[in-house]
Amino acid sequence: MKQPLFDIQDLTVKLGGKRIYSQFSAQLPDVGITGIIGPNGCGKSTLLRCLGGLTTPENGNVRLRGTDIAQQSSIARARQIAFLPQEPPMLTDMTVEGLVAKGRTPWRKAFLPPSQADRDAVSQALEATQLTELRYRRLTALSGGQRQRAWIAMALAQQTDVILLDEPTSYLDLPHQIRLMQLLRDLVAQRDQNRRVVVVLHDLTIAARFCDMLVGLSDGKLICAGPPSEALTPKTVMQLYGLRAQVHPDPVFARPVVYPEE
Amino acid sequence: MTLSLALVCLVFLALSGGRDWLAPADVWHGLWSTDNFVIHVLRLPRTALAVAAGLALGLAGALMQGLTRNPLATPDVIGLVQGASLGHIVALGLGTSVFLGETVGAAFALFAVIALAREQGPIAFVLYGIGVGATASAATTVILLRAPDATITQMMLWLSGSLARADLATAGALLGGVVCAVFIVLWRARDLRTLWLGDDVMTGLGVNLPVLRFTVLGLVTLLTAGATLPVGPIGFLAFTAAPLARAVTGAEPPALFPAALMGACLLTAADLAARLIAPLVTLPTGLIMTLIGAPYLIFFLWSEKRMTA
Repeated sequence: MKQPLFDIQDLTVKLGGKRIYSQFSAQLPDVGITGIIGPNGCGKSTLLRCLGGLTTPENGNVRLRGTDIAQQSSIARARQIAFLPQEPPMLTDMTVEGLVAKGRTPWRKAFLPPSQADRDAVSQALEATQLTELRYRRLTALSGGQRQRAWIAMALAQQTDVILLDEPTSYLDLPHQIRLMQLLRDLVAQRDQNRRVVVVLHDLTIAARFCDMLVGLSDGKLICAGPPSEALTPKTVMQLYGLRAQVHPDPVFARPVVYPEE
Repeated sequence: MTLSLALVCLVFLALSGGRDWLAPADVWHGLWSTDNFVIHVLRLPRTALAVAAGLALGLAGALMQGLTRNPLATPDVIGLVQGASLGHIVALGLGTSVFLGETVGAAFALFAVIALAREQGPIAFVLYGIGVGATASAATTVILLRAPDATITQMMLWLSGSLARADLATAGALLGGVVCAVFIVLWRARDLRTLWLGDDVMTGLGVNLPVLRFTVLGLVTLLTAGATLPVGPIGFLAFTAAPLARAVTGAEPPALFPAALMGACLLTAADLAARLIAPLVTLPTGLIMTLIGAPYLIFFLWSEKRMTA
């Protein structure tokens, strides 16, 4: 088997006295987009935070392509993994370009102005997210979808192999959700970049449609992992959400769609 | 850029303005000949001190606002300035170094607010800060009442924020301190640029948060103590400088240097105004600053309410 993207071994995580994970092990294969699904409070965000090194596990380790991320310096890690929280802060007075330029933080040198590489990375990130025209706009003047794209552009400017996104679609309407997921598909499709996205998603239809691989979590336990057609079955939906449901491929893309029976 | 230009003009204006206005040419010549009494003894020390203290407080305010992501959490609002004043008075009474006293006072106030407001959100942080500041002010007054009459008069003037006792040596020392702070800011600029983005985003960008927090809080404490030492507790300056600088120049947060320059502009202008309004009595500069800053606080809260409504 190919080396996994993330190898999680014996992860034990406590948050505020509550044990979220206990001896949790899983492997995320090296595929374009991996979706993490599961009910509220199942530990999706916590897992993502552990992958990004934002939450330090009490025990166990997370390896990214063989390297233990806890052993890396914060800068070295930030050059490999970009992370966007579920609710990035509202920033007044910040322009799109200004925000995207913050993505260069792990690459900047003390006392020096931005390098040509920094400026190129920002331009490319703006280009990829179709924000070049809006680069001098204030974030507060953007729509929700544009603002979400600006944050993703910041993560892109970080030029990492891996981008971790926590529910990037949650405040967007359907067309913006689709466009955002298509953007993620475009990002992993660029062959020369070898970029990988791990994304926490709520909407199962969206997750099944756009992810190469789904990981289902419930109560800190791994329920299913695999391509959408294997990961989403009546059995796993029952295990994940306690919901009786049928799962059928949709007529257009042949991706699994969950039809609850209750 | 705009702000540095404005500051140069303001400094020139501050040197020529006062009870007697000097022509620009006289100011220029006065600066280079050491025997010009009005410039060298009366106006230059005050103006230099206003610039230095303004830079320090403007920078401290922007740093603190950025770290806490809270426009209200500045050294003057959350009690650091008041803590430094208490430290000043206590140090005077004990006969130890005033700067040490102020640093300890400001650090103690900061530590108290952080410990009290732990994970209770931005409003609690500010409210605890106001509480700590008020306690420190009250304690300062109580201690002061036991002092000799002459000290009381002198300290009351200091407590209202006055530049009247300025001398070039103090102003120079404070400017030196500000230069050191600017050096540290440039050195740590990579991490400081991510202020306002919040803990999660900052960590994701590879910022070592404990180190950054220590740097910012240390700088804020020292800058506040340093600025309070010669001019007394100046209210509202640290709070007003950064947002005003951003509004004027369009600089993006954290806008640390624009905030520092705006602080210097504000305090220089406030001191000039204090001297122009009442040339014969020593009107405290801090009073003028409060006259500008307090309405801004009210405006700020009012516009916040409109934004959330």
